[in-house]
Amino acid sequence: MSRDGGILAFNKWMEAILTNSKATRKARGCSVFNLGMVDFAEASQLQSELIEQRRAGKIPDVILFLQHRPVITIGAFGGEQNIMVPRDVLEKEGISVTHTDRGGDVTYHGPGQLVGYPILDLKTRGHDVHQYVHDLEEVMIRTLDDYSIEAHRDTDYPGVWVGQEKICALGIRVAHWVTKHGFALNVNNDLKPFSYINPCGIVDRGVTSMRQLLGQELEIRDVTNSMIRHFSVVFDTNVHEAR
Amino acid sequence: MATELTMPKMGIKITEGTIIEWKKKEGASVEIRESICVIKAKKVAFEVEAPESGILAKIVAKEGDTVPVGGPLAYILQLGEELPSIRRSRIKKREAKRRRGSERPYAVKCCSECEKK
Repeated sequence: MSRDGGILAFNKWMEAILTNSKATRKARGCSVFNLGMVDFAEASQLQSELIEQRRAGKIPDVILFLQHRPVITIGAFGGEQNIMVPRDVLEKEGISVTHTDRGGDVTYHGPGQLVGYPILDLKTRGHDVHQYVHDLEEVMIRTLDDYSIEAHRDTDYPGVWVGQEKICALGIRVAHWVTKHGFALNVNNDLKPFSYINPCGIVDRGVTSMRQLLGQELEIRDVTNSMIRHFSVVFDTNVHEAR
Repeated sequence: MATELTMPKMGIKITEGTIIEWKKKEGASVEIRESICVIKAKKVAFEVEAPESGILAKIVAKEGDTVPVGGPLAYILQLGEELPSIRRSRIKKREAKRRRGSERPYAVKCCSECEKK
């Protein structure tokens, strides 16, 4: 789906659900939107709107799937010291830098990386942020297993790893038990920009991608569909694309 | 009586949290359910809500402090209320007791996968 197609479908859904109580009743489980390429700031704004509606109980759980243009983001636990190159180098490469309120330190997002922002109400899921992180990691591990990639958790570092290399970063904020931000899975994206930072403040580990491990480009759409299937099972909910 | 703001239970296996940021300063007025501080637990930034409206009279856990679940973070006062006269030593004693409590021999591991490691 084109970027505008994704945003249009999203806006239509929001309008219908906020003005039509029948649509609200129909909307159960977890609604998924494939938004395509979205600026980081725009995605943050979208999430804030969704969180407000989710808190008020006006919408069901939602997951936004999207990609970002090249951007280095500094999380709530991080600082500029984990960006290793001067700003003008980043500017030349077309990479912007922004602060964000998610958990975690510094990370990079760029085209070809599958980013997911689940807006879930953890009050209906046992008030447990640890379990939520664990479940997200489980979805990633199972999705990667579909591609015969053996991924695992690490007791010292959050995220999902293949050997000593990180393939999926997690960064989450929870306010009033509703989740914001989420995960970033390296599918086809260029890994070079990670060399400009200490990803998540970790210095002794590397990063990898599905493309690097499998030696070929993958359809982001296929990876998303695989992820949606596993999300349904792990989170025990009906995850469906909203129309 | 003053309302005690405590380190929330963010999950069944989470025993403590670290203060990242106070969004309100001592002396500020706060509304019930307003986010007043941010804590860190694993990869999550968690916003702590005010349990009561009033004045954020005393912050006892500073930014960077790690506090066990249930431990005091701050006190919120309403008109006519006073801060409890809890001496520092008493708070410390309570924390020590909680810490001992969290080191129970039957404390469970995160998951079967973690146990394998």
